[in-house]
Amino acid sequence: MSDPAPPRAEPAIRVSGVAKTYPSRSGPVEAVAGVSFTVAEGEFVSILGPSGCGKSTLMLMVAGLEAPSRGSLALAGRPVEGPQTRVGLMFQDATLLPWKSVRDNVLFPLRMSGRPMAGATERAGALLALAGLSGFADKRPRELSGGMRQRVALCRALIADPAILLMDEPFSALDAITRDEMVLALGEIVARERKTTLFITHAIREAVFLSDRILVMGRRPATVVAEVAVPFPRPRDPAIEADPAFNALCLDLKDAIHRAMRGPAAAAA
Amino acid sequence: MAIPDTLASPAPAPVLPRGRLLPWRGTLRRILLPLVTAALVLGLWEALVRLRGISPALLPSPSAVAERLVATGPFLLGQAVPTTLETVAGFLIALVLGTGLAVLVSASRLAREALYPNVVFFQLIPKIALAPLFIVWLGIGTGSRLTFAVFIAFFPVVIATLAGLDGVDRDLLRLCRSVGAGAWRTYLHVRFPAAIPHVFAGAKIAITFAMIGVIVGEFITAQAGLGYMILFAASQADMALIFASIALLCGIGLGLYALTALAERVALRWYGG
Ligand SMILES: Nc1ncnc2c1ncn2[C@@H]1O[C@H](COP(=O)(O)OP(=O)(O)OP(=O)(O)O)[C@@H](O)[C@H]1O
Ligand SMILES: [Mg+2]
Repeated sequence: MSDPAPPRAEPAIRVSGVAKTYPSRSGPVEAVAGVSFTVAEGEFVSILGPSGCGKSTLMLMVAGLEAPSRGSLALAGRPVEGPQTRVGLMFQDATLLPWKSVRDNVLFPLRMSGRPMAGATERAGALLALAGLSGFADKRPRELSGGMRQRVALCRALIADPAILLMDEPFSALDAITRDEMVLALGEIVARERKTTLFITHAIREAVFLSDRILVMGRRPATVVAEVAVPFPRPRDPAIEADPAFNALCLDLKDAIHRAMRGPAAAAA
Repeated sequence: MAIPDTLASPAPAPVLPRGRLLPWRGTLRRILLPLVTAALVLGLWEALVRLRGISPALLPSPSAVAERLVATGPFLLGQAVPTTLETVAGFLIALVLGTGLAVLVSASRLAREALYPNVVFFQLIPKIALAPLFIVWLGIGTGSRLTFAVFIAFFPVVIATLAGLDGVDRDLLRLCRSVGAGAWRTYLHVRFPAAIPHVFAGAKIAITFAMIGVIVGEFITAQAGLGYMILFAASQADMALIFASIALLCGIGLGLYALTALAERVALRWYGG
């Protein structure tokens, strides 16, 4: 390494004092209230929080798909104004196009962006192989299981080689066994591709297993009520779940979430 | 103590299909059962007419209708040509205009707010009542019948297509925006293909509506076509001819519907949902 990259001053994701209020028939709904955090390049950060607290809203703002009512966001120092093309998105449902093959679904972001990428088809094939879907490139989504479809969605999120992965409860619609498998695959793939990742989940063990850092949010409107660092190196082996330190972290988090559920005042106390 | 014979495990009884006289396959049953029912009704009708000696001026027997259909076949088929052509043309125009309006309404908030309540209003009113207006405005030619058929067939296409265009998953649309795809590209590659099953659901209603529109137009304009034949035969009290025309009309209507349903199957196979 004769020419190391200069240390970057700006984090991959910076969220500063962001709030979001939606209009609704019964008056304005404050979904997010004054959230600030940063995610360093290559870091894996999970957001844990009760249902409806504003996690998805926060992710949409990071992606530039919703504008904040207050505060600002920046990706690698560039302010987020409008949709960000350098992020890969994954949602709770795979949202594949049923009329396209698995390969074309993976290539979908490139086709839609109109930015042709040299060797795109090869890259799609390589990603599918990485996700254990080598033989399925020409199949239709209908012919795949739920877990396989979500793996296709992961390949699709990675195809344009985004700097940042934003994942909103990507495994919560899967059964427990498939889910464990997907968590393991994600941990390996993300570590190998060195992606900065913001991962939203309800599952404590999943968050601890995958993350460098976990942010706990309170009840709506969302604020960060606790922050927990996970000191184990990544990618991690499933055996780590037997480690007492791992389990102590899970218990701490459970406790933090219970306090968060009682309201922001109790959590701050 | 010896075990009584009755407690010894008996030989398994042969498993017989129960409650079935014939080992019908499901499909055969689905096709045969309604056909047999229809045949029974026709048989009953025939028997009633013959045994009760009902006057053919009131109700002709099915066999008399069939005879008449064969006898006047070429002539009736000639009358069926304009009816069929106008139905198909009206349907196709309604399909194009209907999907076009649905795209406009789904793309523009102004268009949606200005137009959609009116589309729903027209969908709900008995449009047949407006038929005479078209004749007044457009005369008694093909133009007015076609316009009226389009007018009737248009609304189910708009409403079904719009449901499809609006029903696209929000997250999928977010994905499109996030990769920098514009509205046009998103329509072409995502929203419109996603709406195709809905377009066909609307089309199946539209094809029958288009025929209704043409027949009503023929009733009023009284120029040619099967609708006119029915009207003419009624004025002559020629019941057999009325029923023969209706039978042919039913056959054509079924055929057009079957073609639409076939196109739907092909499209859905491509769609792969
Ligand atoms: N487009 C919108 N318009 C109005 N209100 C909205 C909109 N999106 C979200 N909300 C409201 O904002 C609040 C937060 O929603 P959000 O989806 O961000 O929560 P979440 O933490 O992701 O929930 P979950 O864990 O169930 O996915 C909710 O009360 C929701 O009703
Ligand atoms: Mg959510």
